[in-house]
Amino acid sequence: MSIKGPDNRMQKRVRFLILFFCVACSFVVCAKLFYMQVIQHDLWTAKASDFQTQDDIIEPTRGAIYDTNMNELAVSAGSELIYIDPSSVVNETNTKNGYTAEQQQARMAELLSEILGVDYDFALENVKMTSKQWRQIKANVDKDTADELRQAISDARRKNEDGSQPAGYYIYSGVGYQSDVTRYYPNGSFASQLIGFTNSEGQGSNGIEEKYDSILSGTPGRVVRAATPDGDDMPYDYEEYIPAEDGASIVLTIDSTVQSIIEKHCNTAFADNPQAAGGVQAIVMEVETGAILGMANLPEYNLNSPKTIEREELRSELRENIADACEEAGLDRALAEGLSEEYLMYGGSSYLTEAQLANEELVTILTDQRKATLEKMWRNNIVKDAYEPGSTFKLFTVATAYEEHLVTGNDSFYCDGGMQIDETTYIRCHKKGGHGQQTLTQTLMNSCNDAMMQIALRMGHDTFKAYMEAFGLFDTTGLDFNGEGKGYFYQSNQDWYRNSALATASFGQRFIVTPLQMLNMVAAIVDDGYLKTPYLVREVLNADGTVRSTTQPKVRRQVISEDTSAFMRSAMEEVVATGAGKNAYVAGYRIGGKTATSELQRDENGEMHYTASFIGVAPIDDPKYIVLVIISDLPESAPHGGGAIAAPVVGRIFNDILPYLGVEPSYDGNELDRMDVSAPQVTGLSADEAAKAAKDAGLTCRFLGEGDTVSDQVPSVGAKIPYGSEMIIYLGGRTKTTEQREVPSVIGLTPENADYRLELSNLYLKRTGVSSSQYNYQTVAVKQNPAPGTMVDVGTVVTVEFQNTSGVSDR
Amino acid sequence: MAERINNIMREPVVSAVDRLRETEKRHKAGKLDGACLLGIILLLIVGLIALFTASYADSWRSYGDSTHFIIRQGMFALVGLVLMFVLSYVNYRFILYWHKPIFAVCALLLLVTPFIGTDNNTFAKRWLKLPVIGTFQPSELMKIAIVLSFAVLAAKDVREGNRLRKYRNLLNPYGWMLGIVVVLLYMEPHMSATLIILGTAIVMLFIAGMPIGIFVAGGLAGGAGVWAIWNEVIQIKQLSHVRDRLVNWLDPFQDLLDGGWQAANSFIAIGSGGFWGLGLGQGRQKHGSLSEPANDFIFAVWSEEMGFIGAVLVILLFAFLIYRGFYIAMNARDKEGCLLAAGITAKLAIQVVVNLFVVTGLFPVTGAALPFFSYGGTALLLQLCEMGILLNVSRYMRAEARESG
Repeated sequence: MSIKGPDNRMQKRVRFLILFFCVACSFVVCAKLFYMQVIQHDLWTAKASDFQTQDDIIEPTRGAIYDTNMNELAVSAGSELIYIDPSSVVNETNTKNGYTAEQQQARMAELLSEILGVDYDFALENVKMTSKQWRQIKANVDKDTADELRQAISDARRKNEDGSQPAGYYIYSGVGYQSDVTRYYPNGSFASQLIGFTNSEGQGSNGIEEKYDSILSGTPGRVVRAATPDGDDMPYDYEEYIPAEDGASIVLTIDSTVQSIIEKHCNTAFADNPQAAGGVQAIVMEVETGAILGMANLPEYNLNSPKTIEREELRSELRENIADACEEAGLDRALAEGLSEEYLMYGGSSYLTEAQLANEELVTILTDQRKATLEKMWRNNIVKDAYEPGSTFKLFTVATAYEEHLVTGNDSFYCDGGMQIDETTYIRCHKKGGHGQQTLTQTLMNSCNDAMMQIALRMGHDTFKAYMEAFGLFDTTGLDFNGEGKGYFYQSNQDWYRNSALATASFGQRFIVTPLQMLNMVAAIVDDGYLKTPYLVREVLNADGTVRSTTQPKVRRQVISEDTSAFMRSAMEEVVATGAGKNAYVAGYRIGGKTATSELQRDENGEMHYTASFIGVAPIDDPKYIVLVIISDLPESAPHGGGAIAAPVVGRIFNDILPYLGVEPSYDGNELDRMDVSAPQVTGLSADEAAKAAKDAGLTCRFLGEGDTVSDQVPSVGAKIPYGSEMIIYLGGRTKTTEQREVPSVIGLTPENADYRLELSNLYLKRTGVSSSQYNYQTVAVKQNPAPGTMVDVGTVVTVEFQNTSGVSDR
Repeated sequence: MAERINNIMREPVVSAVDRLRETEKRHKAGKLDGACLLGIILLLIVGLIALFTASYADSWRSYGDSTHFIIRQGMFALVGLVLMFVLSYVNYRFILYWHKPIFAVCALLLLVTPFIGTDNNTFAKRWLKLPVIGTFQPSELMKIAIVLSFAVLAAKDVREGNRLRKYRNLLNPYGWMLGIVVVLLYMEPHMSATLIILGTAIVMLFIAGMPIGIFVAGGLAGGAGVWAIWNEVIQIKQLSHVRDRLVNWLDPFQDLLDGGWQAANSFIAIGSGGFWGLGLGQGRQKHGSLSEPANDFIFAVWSEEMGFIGAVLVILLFAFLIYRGFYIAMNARDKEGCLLAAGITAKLAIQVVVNLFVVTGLFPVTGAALPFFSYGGTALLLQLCEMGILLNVSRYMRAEARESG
């Protein structure tokens, strides 16, 4: 049998196959490869870098904000935002591995609540929103916690030894991370309207944060790096790194101590005048430079939670506004009553009931009203909003006329209680019977409107207006702050050139300026006429701490002469020493100032509203610091006089900040009672020696008991008691009682009665407030420390603040 | 050359006895085809290198050990080489003698796979688990079984008067055998194995004399089928993913996450490789972008790292081995040997072509491994066994063919 190989046809067909596979197919593949790898190479390389690189934005660290002594006011810390993609939490592989969708979701929710500490139900609810692709689980997660989560997920993703995937391999899919930077304000509500805060995107949205956003925020960097689709690094060297430029830091002129002091006293003032609908504002400025040392607006808010309305009075005001808005929209006012306090405080639909949420009209009103309240709360109205300055503006009228030689210090002005401006207009002075004959200085001390009108009319419209412009009232002061407001005056010449317009303007009514403009103007008046640009930022520091720029104090112009300024200073000192501003007196310091009580509009009940303010300067012989306090929008029925309620606040502020700022007190003969002395050591001495020691120390003494040797003393050695107080010296073995005394209430008493009441309890009186030389029959104690009822040792000093309630009228 | 001329010159004086001896000599096993062996060894070496570079990233990520894949593959390669040499000494006729039981066993294994098999975390149950060796695909065995059976059956048909030129003879037994295989594979399902088995069978029947007209008919039918699926005339749920694949084939970037991902990343790998490549080991797409970088898309990784030059080199190596396989078939001692060698070679060729077409986007994505390259110990083992059979056929090549090789 012959064995035959393939026949010719078979060989032919195999040859065809060789041609087909080895030539044709190979050629096609090679051609396609050539097309892709050589001709389309660039296209694919571009696509590759899209696919293979991860473009990570490196968020720069936002610069810090410091006070002038480099205390941190705002700092940034890196954190992450963690979200899930609910649509990819449940996946087929898990389902095949025997996990139901519910189990997978529950596992995910467990993981999230365990590591992130979020509520399990909250996590589960979000995990179940499978139609969504992005649900935020938690923001502001610190990096360690985020790493812990990453680790937990990657641990679950490790394959078994034999290479198979464990049953839970895909169980945690769909978790995502975003880098986030948190802003933290160590002092909470401190200087809140001034500093501002950052919004959820990390951009400054108020105050310094907003004004200096571009400087603080820095430039984001990028890492373009080779990365796998999972975001892991690839082990080959491709990384383009454009480093982030961290934001520069801002050093403010604000001094934390000064700021705390004025906030403390503003809070006290706000508590004393709870009806002040416009709140309480205060500014402290360095006269020579224009640097703002402190700026407080009440009510304040917490910078760390700017959307929370913490102040109760703001919440009740909000509730009232909502009720009004409801009524306007034809809804029931009672709807406002049904709102929870939590809603007013925090906002957000979770604090509303189903029924409230269902009422769309109500929801709109709520959102709008809450937003309006927040914006009001955030607003820095010292800088942004204008007010009618009132009598403090009389400083302008007098200074300008004096500068123009239209009045001299020797001129006298007669006030008969008002002035007939023209046929139809008679403008009253606030003292109906008139102030009578007054010197120029006395017109300011009395805050006489009649005299101001006479002076202004003597000056004429053009001069008056020219000086207003010269003092910068027509323009912003140039403070480095967003949205600074400016004055608003008669818009037409016809209105402006009426004598009544000039007459009312002379005592600061019927036009508005910002508190800052007012303060800046008075600073120029007392500082030899030099008008400066106030500023808030002392230095800008680079991220490495080097100084990028320093603000140089800027003098804009000299508005009035040194002579005029000197006259104004002496007049202002008199206002505080013996005039309407005597409640601003601080023992040991020479304070100058001017009170104001400006009229606002009548409310719907026909009651007039007033703003009380006081501008004080210290030391007035060499002006260093100027303080403005405004207690805004008080009804006539409440105490509303600037000399009565604003001046003491300025006095308290000076009393605290001047020693801190290093201004040495010096007491003249009239104020020795305000000086503290240390009790000398007399125990163990003879009675005569003890009496001499007390006298040398500026104290009187009273002996109790019989004997030659002092056995005990009140107060103890070194205790600070007012000059001239009486030491109690025990003789012959007697000792002071160890029984404690209850501090009596002295509020409302005259100084003599208060002194007597305390002496009965063997306590010492330390006087603050109005100068002892200015006491009159209406001088009363308004504050005391320790509070009545406190148990104290004998010989304890009780600080009592006295105020004059008459003779401080200033309208 | 001179010797050969001498032989021809001498031929007239060779006696009848000498002729007989000569025939005897031809029946004895000679030396194996050195060129073919060289091709196999070169491809195996390049394949292992490619596997290592393609697999270490995945290996590290999954096992914390870069060499996990390459060590396993290397061990299988060594065992496979030994088996290849052993098989090259086993007369292929002996193996062909058992073709019926082999087919029966393979069919049985395929039958049980959907029930007792494992899915290796894919969506189809294609694997059987064996101790020591690990998992393997019975479909791989079926590919060989078909080649063996068809070699015997078709050779017989050719000898018995070109029976294959008649259509009805195609149906029995070839038609129903393939029918069984297709049904069994559909149960897994396993599209690419079906394609390869059908392709190999058709190539063998083609060599055995199948009329050309059937290609025209088949081409028309296939075209119509694709058209129908494309235009959703036929809406069979099981075929819907075929349409998706076609859509993704035309533009893999239109739906990256749901189907286009593999092809898109393969193109990126190849295209960004450029003419000279990024350098061995420097590939980027294997780090998680390419799915199965060590398996179906290993050629993409190779092209990325070795560039157009390296890719063409591999294609030339394959072309050479395929050429050599068909050369052995042409010069086989008998028709069985011819069809067996051609079948083994055709199977290799079709797998290579399908894989390269998929990877370069000439063909929709279907899970086809690249012989000698892709990770898969048992597949490599079987591939080398097939090469052993091919080499055995080469031992019986006509002397002059062997010398010319």
